[in-house]
Amino acid sequence: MNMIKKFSDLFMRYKPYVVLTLAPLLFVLLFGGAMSPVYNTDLPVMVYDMDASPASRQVVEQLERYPYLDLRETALSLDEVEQQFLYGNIIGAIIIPEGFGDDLHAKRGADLLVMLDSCNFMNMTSVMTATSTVGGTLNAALRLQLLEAGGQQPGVAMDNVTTLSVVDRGLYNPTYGYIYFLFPVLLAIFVQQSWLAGVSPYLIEKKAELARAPLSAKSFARIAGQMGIFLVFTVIGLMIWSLTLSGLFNYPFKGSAWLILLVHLPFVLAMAGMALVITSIFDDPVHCTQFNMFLTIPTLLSCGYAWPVYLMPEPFRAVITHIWPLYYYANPMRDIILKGCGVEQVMPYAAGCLKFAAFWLPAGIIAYAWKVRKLRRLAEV
Amino acid sequence: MDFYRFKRRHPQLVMVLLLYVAVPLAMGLALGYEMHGDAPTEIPTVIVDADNSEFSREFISQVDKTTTFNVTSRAESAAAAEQLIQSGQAMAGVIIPQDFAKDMKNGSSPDMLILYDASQLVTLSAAKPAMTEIMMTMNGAYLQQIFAGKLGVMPAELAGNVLPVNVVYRNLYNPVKSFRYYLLPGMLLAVLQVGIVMLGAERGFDNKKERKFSVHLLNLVLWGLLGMLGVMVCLGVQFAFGLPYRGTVAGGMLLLFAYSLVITTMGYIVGLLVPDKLFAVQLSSLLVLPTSVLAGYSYPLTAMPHGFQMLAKILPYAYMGPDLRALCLKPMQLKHVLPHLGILLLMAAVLLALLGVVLLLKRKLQRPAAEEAAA
Repeated sequence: MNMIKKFSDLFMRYKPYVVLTLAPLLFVLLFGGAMSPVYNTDLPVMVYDMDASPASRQVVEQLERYPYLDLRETALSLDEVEQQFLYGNIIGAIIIPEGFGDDLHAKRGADLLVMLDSCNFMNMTSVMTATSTVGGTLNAALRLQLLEAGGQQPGVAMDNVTTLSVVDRGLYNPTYGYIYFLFPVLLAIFVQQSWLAGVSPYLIEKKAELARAPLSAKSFARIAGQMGIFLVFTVIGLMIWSLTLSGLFNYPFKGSAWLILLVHLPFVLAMAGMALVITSIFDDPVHCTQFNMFLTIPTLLSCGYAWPVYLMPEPFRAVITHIWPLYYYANPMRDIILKGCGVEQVMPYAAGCLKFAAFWLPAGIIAYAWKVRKLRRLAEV
Repeated sequence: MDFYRFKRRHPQLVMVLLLYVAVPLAMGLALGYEMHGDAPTEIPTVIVDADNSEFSREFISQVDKTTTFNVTSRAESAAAAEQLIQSGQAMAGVIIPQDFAKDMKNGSSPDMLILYDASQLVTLSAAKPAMTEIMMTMNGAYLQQIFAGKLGVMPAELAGNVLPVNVVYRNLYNPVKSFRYYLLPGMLLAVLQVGIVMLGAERGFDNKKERKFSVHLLNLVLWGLLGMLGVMVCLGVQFAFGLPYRGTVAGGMLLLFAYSLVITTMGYIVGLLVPDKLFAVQLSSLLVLPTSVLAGYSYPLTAMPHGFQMLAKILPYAYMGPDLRALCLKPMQLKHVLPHLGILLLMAAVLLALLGVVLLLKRKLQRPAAEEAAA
């Protein structure tokens, strides 16, 4: 029992450092592990073959051969298909209408209906890609047959079928992996939230102490020094998470670590301002933590990473870049980590963040000092 | 009386109002306003037209005509186009090489290069299907020329020859492919669940000394109800921005209540067990924070490794997040939510049983200590 107490005391003493470095590591491991398979496989899809002709069975066979589709048993009615969609058991359905085979033979163009559950974009896109690949293969083979039957040489027919050839290149994320897309902003969020979680209770505790004890320059200097130590720990934390990502999940970091530091330091300064403002409002560390935790997802969704800045309404864009600094950190993190951008592209963000910090850090200090004064006055009363 | 004094006197009331009313309202308004454009349009696109033929001009005009793309710049080479994409001035690029149309007519299958900024998944998800559609239209037009010109196929039969199998897509439930509909319902729930679990932990910590199970249960039901109302407020704002709600209202409320009860109870148990209040609140939030990703709301479960798919089965969010979105977008009836409602109620029952065990153990541990103290 004594040992547990000792361990518990030790943990509580070093908790801010654990929060700044190791707690987000758990998230890196969890999210990295969950999203490590880049391709979306085993997509549950149902087939409703209303035609049941040799041609329609050939289509079903092609679909069965496609590696990413998990073809469920054939439906017996459209109502059954709809119910499966509503229960969430399938994300796509392929309906082969009656007369499909006849239309194909008569060269009238046979329709193949693909129903997609577009509630989840990623599922919808995966099923769409799969069915369009199968459809494209079928069409190419059939066109080839038609051209050859029309008297074209096989080589010429093949050239005609494949003549408009398009090569797609997904720059910076060639496999279109969600893990690659998401982690730059996750790292930024980990820095933001671990900073707030580690620093806020400390600032609240110090605020209460300053309200009780005689004020001195030394006590303020001590707080500034401690904040500096916390800053160093955010850098250590970021290094640990990045190395884990890279080592364990082969996550490619294309840009320079120095550039990351160039945007990291102004961001932490800006966040110091935000932490001071927040802790000047809250006196109870529990309530402050509750508020801080609430910020995770809204700040992530409004920083211009998931929903690009150019799509935001102008007033919203102006507001988010002035009231929260994540925009200046998450976006250059993507530019550095995924795109391998250079200093000329990162500099405007770093400068913007410094400007942000130049306003909010003094504002935070003033708010914090004002609150200390207010608490002192209340204590005197 | 100023707000500060009111806050000092009624900290809990202020926090409840802040976490269940003010923050959800502000957040709902902000995010709803931010994404009210729904789907990415006018994606800045760079063009390299080294061919400068009738075909290439027609292709570029097709690209520019769609609402998805906006041809904002032209470049001399693929490398220059890539540079524009890297600097963020463009998010897609079309590179048509020299003599493209001529080579196509000669049947030598030249390659057209389409570049996407794949670090921007939202624009990518709109750009790729739109470009595929344009390519298919252009390809169809070209093949029509081949079939009509070289093989003499009659106009009535052209369509059937060019496109023997016509794959028709129907996007159910979210036909406008709204990113907001896809993301916001579950994300707002993910935010609110953090508040619900933390307030649960705070309640649990404050009620540590309470011995009666019925008092704990009453607390949980009450806070569960409040949590449910918080989510409803948050979603209610989205309805003002046009988010539909097509499913069963009663089913949705039942599901939300069961979910809120489960999350509150999780936090409550953590609050009862952990000796430090702040740590209890932080720990409880860590229990639910990653679940919106791990439960397959945005990144599909089918894509995750088997172990993570198994883990998702015990995450309450897996039975509420995707269902909340489905309730908004699909005409779901009560019978469609019953399976997940059953699982959530089962989870609530298990957690309540666990709470009972925790209370019993605490009582047993406290008794000898009290006797010792009395002696």
